[in-house]
Amino acid sequence: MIRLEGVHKSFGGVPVLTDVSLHVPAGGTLALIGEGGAGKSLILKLICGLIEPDAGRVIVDGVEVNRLAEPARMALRGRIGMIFQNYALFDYLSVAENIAFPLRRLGAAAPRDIDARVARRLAQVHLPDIGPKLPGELSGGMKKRVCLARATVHDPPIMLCDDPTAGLDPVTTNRIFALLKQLQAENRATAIIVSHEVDALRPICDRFAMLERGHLIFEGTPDEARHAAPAVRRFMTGEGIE
Amino acid sequence: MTRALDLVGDWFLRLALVVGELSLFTGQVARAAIRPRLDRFETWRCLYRVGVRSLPIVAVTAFFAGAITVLQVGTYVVKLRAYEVVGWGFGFSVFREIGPLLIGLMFSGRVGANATAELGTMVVTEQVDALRALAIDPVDYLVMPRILAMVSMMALLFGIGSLFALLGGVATGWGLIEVDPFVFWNSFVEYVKVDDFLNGLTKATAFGLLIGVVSCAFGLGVRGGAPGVGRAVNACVVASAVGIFVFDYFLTTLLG
Repeated sequence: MIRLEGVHKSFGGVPVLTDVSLHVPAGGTLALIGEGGAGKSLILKLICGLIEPDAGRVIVDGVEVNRLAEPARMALRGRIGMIFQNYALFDYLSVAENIAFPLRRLGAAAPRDIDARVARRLAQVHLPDIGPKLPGELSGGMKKRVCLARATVHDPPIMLCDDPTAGLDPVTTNRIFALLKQLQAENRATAIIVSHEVDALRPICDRFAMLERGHLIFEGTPDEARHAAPAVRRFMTGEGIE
Repeated sequence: MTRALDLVGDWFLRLALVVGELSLFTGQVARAAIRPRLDRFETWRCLYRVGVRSLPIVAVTAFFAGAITVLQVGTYVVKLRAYEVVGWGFGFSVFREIGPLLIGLMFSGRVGANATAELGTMVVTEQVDALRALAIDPVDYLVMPRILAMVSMMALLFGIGSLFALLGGVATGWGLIEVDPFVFWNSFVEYVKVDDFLNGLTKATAFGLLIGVVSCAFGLGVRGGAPGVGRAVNACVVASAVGIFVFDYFLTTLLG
């Protein structure tokens, strides 16, 4: 379960999030949408405890993240799989080493099982033969899939996905969303997906939330969005765009 | 006048900020050093890159440092016909001062700048955030192996560099000012003490620690994309060089 209560965050005196409250029940999937710079990625980093809120509470599985000491926060992060917008793959490690990294460092698998788990995850993301390659040798779509494999190889019960399909073609986009749905269902994970691909998100997300300039202007099901404010309808359906 | 005071005040505030951040970072490193959780693969990678790859440049620098020292001393040696002190003059100055200082400066330009650029790039490409998101402390995983590699390799390179400096000194003495290598060696063995070498070794180790802390602090403190990485590398090289001279002054006072 993930809950944000009255969260505020500013950078250099400029408010980026203002009084944001959100709730994602355990096992639920929330799509977080909104224009660029609305504060979507920031919400994921607040949940992961990478950034502190100025005010408000961020609660993950009943624990207030911003009150945790660093060791407890580390333990919490071990239960989160995060996909970064810009891949964030370790460029000096091979693809296989990148994916094995959480297993090795978190002790999430016996050393003899690591290779098999990495190979299985690579096959799941349809990249079975690229283990020895370096991230610099991959295309954007391949990097995204490797990032997805690394973030989920330890079967985290919480998945935070920051624009996992940005800049990808529609076929790869649908493939990644299908994979996310499959992994989320397998692990019964609680997931937040930041994306602009509203149509592709509809079948895999229970609820949508929309941010506009740091304010939460909508939270509900896709059906409820039809009766929401014009800005939400415009973003969700494209209606009224000339 | 007010503007000049503004500038001076601003400069002091920025200096205080840098010193404060460095102090906090040093505290984090000290805490991590109490119970180090080193990644074996990352530590070996750092040792190789810092040590093996720096060896050629340190060897060349040390060889010529030794040669230049003998050339400078040589003018007076020939004039006073004091051939028996050339080995002592060489050993004393190279071991105690020139060796650690030159190798330290070379090391900060090559290894320190490289570490800052690498860590800075990892910050701007969110790789450091990815580490933290994977429940891995960047100080444990990235900083400690680099500092360990810089401290141990600086000490080792000082030892190896001293041998190359000796070679450079002997070759130059023999070839240019006609000092017999045996005379050079006897003077070196007779007058240069183990303390002189240990003095230089202590300085080299301290410089390694300084370069490690400064380069990692500036690397992880990068803000503002690629230009930020450039600024951090520049600041790291300047701060390391200034720090080496300040450290050298205090260590010389302390160690004699």
